[in-house]
Amino acid sequence: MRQYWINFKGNQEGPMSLEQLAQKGLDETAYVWHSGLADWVKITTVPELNDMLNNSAKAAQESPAELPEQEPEAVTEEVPELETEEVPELPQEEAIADEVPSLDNVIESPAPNYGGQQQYAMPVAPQQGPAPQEAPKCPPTNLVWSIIATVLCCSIPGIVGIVFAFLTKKYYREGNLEKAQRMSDYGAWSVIISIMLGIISMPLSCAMNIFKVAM
Amino acid sequence: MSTKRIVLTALAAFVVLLGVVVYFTFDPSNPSLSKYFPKCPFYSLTGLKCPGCGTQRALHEILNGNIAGALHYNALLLVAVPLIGLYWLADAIKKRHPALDNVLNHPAAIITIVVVVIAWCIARNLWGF
Repeated sequence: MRQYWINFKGNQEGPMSLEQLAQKGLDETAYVWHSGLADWVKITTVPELNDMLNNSAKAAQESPAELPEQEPEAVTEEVPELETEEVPELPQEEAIADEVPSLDNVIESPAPNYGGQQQYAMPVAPQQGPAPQEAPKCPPTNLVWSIIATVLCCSIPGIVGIVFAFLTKKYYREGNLEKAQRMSDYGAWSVIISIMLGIISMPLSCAMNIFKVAM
Repeated sequence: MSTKRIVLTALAAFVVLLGVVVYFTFDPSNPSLSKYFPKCPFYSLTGLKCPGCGTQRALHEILNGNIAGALHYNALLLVAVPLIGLYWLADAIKKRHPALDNVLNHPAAIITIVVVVIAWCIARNLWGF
């Protein structure tokens, strides 16, 4: 029985069987790894898992009466995959080249031929490779600086900074690194604006106070 | 640590130390001294208290060990200071104990901070904290 590791919404889990995966409510954004793969791949590039996704999506759409027809299909497609480990690899690499150009390094590195006995070395391997959701660290949230800016400098941009910290983490957990990075940048700018406003307003405010008192 | 980082850290430490000395020594709530302290731009423009209003007076009270006084001027600061310490601690021990950092940086935790700050801002303007 092939064991799968999954990386879904920032959480890594495994090992799991195909049946266990079906219970997880995964969608196309999940990444998966099993022995024989050089690195994490999109779940849709693994044929048997793509079928599983499609089946569960169909099952959700269609009437419950048609469910039993879908399930035997999934079981039969599992069988050939168990016999030949290499079979899924070719379509995967093509699919990656078409869909995920950012995973270039996956294609360039020659896929090490893992034997079946290496199953329990698996959790280590994905962490070393450029795992799509593991290796990229969360962009800085600037949360502490936003809080400091809120309390010390200029509250309004400070609060905006905290909101951007929230959005950074939210998009990061959803696996949307690009948006997370943008939110992180906005957050940094909020803090900078807050501090600048504080620095500008300080002497201005003091000067006005002294001027008022003098009058 | 690069030279740039050392210089920046030293500069930050100097500014913080200067602030501590100034706010420990001088009381911003003292009428004859208050004109030398900056006023909140948000309060000057709108007449409404922002979540940070009263921080200078509260800082003076904290530095002089008067927690009740600090609570009176800005209760949020008393919550924020330990919270900031907690965040820094969590960041420092992240590698060996990631649990605390994970909890503190969970989106739910961050949005809670936003809600608390905004609620605090509304409440202090309604009831004059």
